[in-house]
Amino acid sequence: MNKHILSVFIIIVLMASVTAMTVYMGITGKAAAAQKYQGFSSYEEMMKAHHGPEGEGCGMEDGVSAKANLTGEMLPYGITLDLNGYNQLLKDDAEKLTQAELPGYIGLNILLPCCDVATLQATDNCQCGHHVALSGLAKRMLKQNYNRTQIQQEIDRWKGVFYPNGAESGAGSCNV
Amino acid sequence: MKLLMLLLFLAGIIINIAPVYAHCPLCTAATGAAVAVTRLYGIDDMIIGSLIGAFIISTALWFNNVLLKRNHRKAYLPMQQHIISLASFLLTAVSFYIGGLFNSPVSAYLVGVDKLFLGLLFGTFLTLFGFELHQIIRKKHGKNHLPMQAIWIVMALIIIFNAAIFLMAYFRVI
Repeated sequence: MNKHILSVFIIIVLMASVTAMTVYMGITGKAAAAQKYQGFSSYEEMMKAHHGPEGEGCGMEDGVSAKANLTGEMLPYGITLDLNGYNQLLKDDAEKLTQAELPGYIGLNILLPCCDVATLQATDNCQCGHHVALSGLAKRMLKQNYNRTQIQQEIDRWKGVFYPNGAESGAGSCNV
Repeated sequence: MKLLMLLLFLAGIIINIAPVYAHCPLCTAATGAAVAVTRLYGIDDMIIGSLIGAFIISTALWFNNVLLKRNHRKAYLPMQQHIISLASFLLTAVSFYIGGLFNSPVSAYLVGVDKLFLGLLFGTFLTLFGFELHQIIRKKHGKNHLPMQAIWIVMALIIIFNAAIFLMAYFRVI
């Protein structure tokens, strides 16, 4: 076989393979990026969409969450709507629930944009700061005999505090 | 005859390779570790990708030189250098894909493509372009303007590219 033809053939096959791989990486990459960031092109963009233009992280110390929603209002279950209240909720998660209280706790919806954990479970819950606080909130309210609907309403209120621009879906991972 | 021997040798290598590892698994693991460390320091994936791309081509050119030396400065095939470069890129990219370095949960994307893969592509083409540029300059002027001119050109191109990527990542343009 003519060596030139063989070389051209090999080069065409290799170039086609490189092109195919690039196209494949583009298709699979777009799908992976969309799944990872809910259709946004980066984590920062997704967080900005949820937190507002200034917010880039999901912490309580700074950003839009802290400025816009932490009014300091005293809530009926004994904490204030501010950083102190948030820190108290983190501590409340250490509370132990009785067997009778567990059905009111398991399955409460805690889905947030920063994490794909959807509901509270009896054990091994997500250790992201927001989820620990929501678990603490559920435990605090159960101890004060609030019913499941009332607890879910308060969880949704705190979700709005964490994510002023909406907390409807979950994706990615959270480092807080 | 020599060409047949070379083809048989390459076929033997391909047949004996374990199906999972298209490229040296140790290299893939080492690259994975390098990528993990650079990510830890907040270095953009395109930067490490471009350096790996440059390394792929440098290794391919070195391998081409070894083959030329074995055959008294004659290539076994026309365009041998290009074939080895392309095959080297492809084998590395495929092994990285199989090794889970692309589209991983911690991957970053630019225009929907994994930044590590994009870096690999840019690094490869920049290095090839650098070597071609060196050949053109040498042909035109009949000499090198610097000792190790090819290496200087490639290094300059890679450094300029990486500085641009670093600045764009720093100012969050990409």
